[in-house]
Amino acid sequence: MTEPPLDLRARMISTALTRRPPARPAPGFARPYAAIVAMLDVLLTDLREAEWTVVAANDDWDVRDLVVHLAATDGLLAEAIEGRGSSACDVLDRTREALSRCPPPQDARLAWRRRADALCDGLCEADADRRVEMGGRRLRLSDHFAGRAFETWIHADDIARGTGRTLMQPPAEHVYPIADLGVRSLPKALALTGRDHADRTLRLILDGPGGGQWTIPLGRAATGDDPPAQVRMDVVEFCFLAGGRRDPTSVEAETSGDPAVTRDVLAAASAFSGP
Amino acid sequence: MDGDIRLRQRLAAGDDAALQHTYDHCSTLVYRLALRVTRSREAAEEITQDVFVHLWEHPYAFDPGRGTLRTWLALLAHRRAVDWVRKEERRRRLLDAVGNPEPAAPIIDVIIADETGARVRHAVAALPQRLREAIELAYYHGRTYRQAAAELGLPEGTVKSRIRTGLRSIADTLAEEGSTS
Repeated sequence: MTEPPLDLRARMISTALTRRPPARPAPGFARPYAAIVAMLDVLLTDLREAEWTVVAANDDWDVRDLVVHLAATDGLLAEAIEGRGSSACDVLDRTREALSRCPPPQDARLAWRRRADALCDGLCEADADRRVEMGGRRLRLSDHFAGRAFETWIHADDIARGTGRTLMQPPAEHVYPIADLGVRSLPKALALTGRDHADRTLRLILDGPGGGQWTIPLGRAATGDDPPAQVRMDVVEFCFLAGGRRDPTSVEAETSGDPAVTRDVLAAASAFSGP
Repeated sequence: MDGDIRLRQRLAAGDDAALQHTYDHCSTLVYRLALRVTRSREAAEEITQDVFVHLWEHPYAFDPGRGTLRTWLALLAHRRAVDWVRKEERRRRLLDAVGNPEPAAPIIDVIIADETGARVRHAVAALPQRLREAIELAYYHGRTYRQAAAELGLPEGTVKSRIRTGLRSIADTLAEEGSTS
């Protein structure tokens, strides 16, 4: 039987990668970010000119504004890596500054992608544990990158829904670190929103590809409840709850144990979702 | 099906290993199908490449709710192969009509799309002489650019540009006739 010539494979791959760049190679902790950047980019390339001005999030930000906002925030992370920290206010200030330059949509897309790729270049595995301050939060670089992956995903979904599309879910291995960051942020989120359960423990079961199980003390005073308060829900729903895209009172979740704890956990989950 | 959903996610996430995996599993099917329809290895290779590059550039075009990735790739390959055959048939009819099976230059698409040789001859006859003689040498008398240039005592570049201008003018004439008839 006839087989395609052997060199056709290499020719096809080379043409494909020239037409659409693959996710930027990056150390493990930055791979979810690089993948979700590629995911948003392929969505943006499919948009028609008129779809760039669809209002997609934060009341009045259109698609281009969101892309500019992502690039501005990525820029703050690049600066943090170079040793220049930033506050929470800087995120919005930088976005407004960039928006005032009114970049045409395709320029905004290319500038965002270039910056995102540059952010992945020059990282090494050992950077994962470096602590840097960005947007007012001092975190390990691996957490900052999970955070950037998360925000890029949330806004990609805003853009997809705004333009009448359904965003594909990221592959499971990229969802997990994002969910994990959301889970680990819960104790601080509770403290930040003034809901004190510092002596309690929470068990979280997140179903679906990229999910898992976590048992986390909600504060230093936690003694290991038996049985702990438990929340069980879909992992993607949890991520969108943490991203401020679900109503904590109506999101689909099975809860058991102390209802005050589970209610407050769901309510506080989005404490770190920014613009 | 689950495998296809995950593959599509990986393609959307810019994972080129997913593209290579898809190629390794489906390229033989796609290539044979294109070869059977076109009976041209060259066309089958081109179609195979196009189909996989299209998937990479537009992973959303494949909807796993409506069938498997294999079937989708096969349908796309079939559609492109049929288009190729139709285009090739038109091209052959035109070449027969102008009486030269091997042109010295690729004929532009509007001319290929025209199906009556008589109209082409008419359009050629209406060209200014300097363009007409270059076109006639290349297309009716089978000269290469170089031979045509030597016969006309002109630089090869000039002959090429006259042929291009001539072809464009023929295409315009045919397009005008097409829109008024």
